[in-house]
Amino acid sequence: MNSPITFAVVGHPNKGKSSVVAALTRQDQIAISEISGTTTEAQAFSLNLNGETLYTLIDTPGFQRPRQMLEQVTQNAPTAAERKAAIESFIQTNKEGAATDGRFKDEIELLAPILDGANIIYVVDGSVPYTPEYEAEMTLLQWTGAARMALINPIRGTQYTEQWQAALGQYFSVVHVFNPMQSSLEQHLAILKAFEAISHTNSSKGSNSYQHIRAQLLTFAKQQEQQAAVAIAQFLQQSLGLEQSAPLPNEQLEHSIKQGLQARYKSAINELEAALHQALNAIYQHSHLNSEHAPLDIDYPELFDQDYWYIFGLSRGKLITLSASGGAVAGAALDIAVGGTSLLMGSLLGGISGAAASTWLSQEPDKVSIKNLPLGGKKITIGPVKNLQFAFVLLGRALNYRHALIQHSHASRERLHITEGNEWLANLGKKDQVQLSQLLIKCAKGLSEADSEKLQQYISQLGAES
Amino acid sequence: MTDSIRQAFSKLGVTQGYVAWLLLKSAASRPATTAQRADFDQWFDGLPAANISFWLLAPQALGLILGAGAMSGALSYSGQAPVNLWVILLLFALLPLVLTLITAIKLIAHAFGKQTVNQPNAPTLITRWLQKQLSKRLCITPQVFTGQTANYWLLFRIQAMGIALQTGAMIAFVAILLFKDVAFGWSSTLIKSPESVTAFFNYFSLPWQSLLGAPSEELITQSQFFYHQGANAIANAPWWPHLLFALFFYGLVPRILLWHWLSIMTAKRFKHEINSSSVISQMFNAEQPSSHAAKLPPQNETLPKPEIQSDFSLASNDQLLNWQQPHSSLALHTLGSERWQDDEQWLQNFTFSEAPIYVAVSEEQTPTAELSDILALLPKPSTLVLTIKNKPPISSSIRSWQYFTNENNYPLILTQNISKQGVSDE
Repeated sequence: MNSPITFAVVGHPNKGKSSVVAALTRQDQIAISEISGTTTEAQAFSLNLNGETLYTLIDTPGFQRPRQMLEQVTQNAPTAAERKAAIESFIQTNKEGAATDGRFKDEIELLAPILDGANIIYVVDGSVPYTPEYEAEMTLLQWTGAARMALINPIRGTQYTEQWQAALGQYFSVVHVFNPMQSSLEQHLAILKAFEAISHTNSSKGSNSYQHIRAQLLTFAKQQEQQAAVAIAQFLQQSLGLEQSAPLPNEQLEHSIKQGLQARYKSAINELEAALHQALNAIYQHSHLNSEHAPLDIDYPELFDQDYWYIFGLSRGKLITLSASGGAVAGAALDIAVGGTSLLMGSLLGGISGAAASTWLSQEPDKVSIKNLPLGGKKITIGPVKNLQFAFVLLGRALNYRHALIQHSHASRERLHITEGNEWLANLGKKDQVQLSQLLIKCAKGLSEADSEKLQQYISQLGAES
Repeated sequence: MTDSIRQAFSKLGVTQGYVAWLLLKSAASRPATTAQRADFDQWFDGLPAANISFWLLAPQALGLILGAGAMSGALSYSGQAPVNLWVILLLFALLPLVLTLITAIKLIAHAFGKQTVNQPNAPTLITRWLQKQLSKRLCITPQVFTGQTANYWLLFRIQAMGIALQTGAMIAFVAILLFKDVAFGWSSTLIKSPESVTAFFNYFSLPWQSLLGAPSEELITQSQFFYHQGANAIANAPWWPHLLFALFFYGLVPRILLWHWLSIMTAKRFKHEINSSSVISQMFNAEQPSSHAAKLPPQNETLPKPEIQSDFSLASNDQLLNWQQPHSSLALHTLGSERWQDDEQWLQNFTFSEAPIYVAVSEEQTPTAELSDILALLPKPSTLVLTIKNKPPISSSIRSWQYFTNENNYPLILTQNISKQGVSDE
């Protein structure tokens, strides 16, 4: 098996090298510090998809003494033919000294993998102006003879990008703007194309490897979408079918038992939602999202706070339309069954009753009912949920969370930002919207395998990233 | 690679493979760092299979005992009247057949998308016991043991218990007949005519007629008994092979067919669950290395809160140097912009006064060891003046400069402007 393609990510200190590594290897556990000079050792991270290592990026310390190093190398390499050997000799000569006094330690750490065969990704900050102080380090990288590309990281904006492109173009065969904080599949594929472009200059790795990596990335994205749809569909079935009950031994205890049951029910639904978030985090490789910070925005509304349902659910008008259409579809089936002798009364009445059913909108999802037990006792029951709006709220929140995860870069150490908006249904046709509503209503009773798969398909379509 | 792992899980089968899968899912549902590749390898090597085999077979063992016990009870008689073969047929042939058919009809209804497969209701005790064992012995969290595969798997395990129960009954039947003389007969208050019973058995015995033929009219007439008669007259009537075949063809064979069908359906669902699950990818993610300790940034509280002056005024004899860029026109020289040799040369040739030395840097620069080297070459300790032009200031840069000066014991001044004797630099 071929060893994976390797890139050393190098540059001036604090220009976002670790962020680039985290974004391109999809690893959110890489420590990223805003303080310069805290990376003191080179460390390799790989992009692993489905257990296969596609490529390796080496996070390195920044250049600390490039001018001094360049001067020593220049003295030992009077001609261009001797420059790479001079760099190798510099590393050998200074290794021992670096271990004791730390002098040139960072340069040795960052250049060693390049001399071992790694390609170069040089990272600069596109939000600060280009100045000649970078030329010493760029010259050293040029002298290694390794295939190299430059990434302009617009940390605080792109105002100096053109200036950087003009300067970098003289030292690097490919120059690309890449913002690790806005990761997307398209950006990732574009960077791969750049990798491929510079590797043409390096005969050891063919373009077949890049085609394979690209194919793996696309397959994995599809797989993630499918797995997320399955997880969300399961969550909806579990939440909407959830039923909890408690015996009512005494009428006087009714109020307190009801309250306790409602609290238990809400907590169970919240736990299911938290479990879904954890599953989605795993699917989108954000396993460390919960480890250090609260995972969500502070103002992310609580699920049972109905004041915020408009954010995730449907408008009242949309809800009534969907309920009415659902009823009319059921009524039309009756009309067909009686060969039209009902004069389409089934459709009409179905539509009216469906619209009336949307008055469930005002019904609490945690509404309790009291049932008689066979032996003369009573039982308080809560759930399953028959409120269509609540079903759409659960679905909307799940899709919004998924969307936020996709947008959240693996380089970001911020809290997950969940944007508002309930335009998910726009991805479905009118007929499919009605069918989705019917499936959500059916969730309370449990879905057949075919229905369950249909629900997964709809979720996949709803969540499709444009 | 995950595909081959998924296939391997499928190949382990719906008994051991599914339990191993539940273990993996359960570990993955815990905090990410707990799920390690080593655990995965351990499960994958079949370790869970060794642990689960005994207790997972316990329902079958119970079924065998219950079946044998029930048959022993049904075959016990006082000698006053023969064992009524209706009782045997009803308990060990018709009842299992009806229960098997109900389950099969439900499954067919589900297969055509009319009904969901729920957790089996009747054998709730066994279901609960299995769930408890999974939780207790393997620490499998209850939420991972849900869904269609779990429901099919439970039904599959319960059918296995049903097979064991029927097998136990048949073994007990043969064993009791081997060591005891049992008389079989039939009796009925409503059916008095042996002809009706003969006609029934002509149909009932169809599955084994090619082997044994139908019970003869003579046998049926001989074995009719009335409670005022003793059992002796009909003690030797050869009913037992017919009863054994009835137990086999009506009690056991349909159950085995259902069990086999369920094993196929469970395997199909299991395969689907494995393919659509993220658990294996999650396990691979968990083995990624984390950043080394050297990467940990200093705590916020170790750095003082930055205080930015609007103007920093140099005294008339103060000496200012720029670092790498011409930050201030008041500077004597810009270091770091030419070759290292040039800087060394300039520092050797220039004569510094006794007045304080300041080095101007900007927030768009990052501190490096080369600056430390330059500061070390100056004839006296100097102060860094960080000019801040951006609004809002670049906080990460300020923190970096604070960290750098703290580490190297340099004084740091943060200012928006540098002036000299009231003359602004701008």
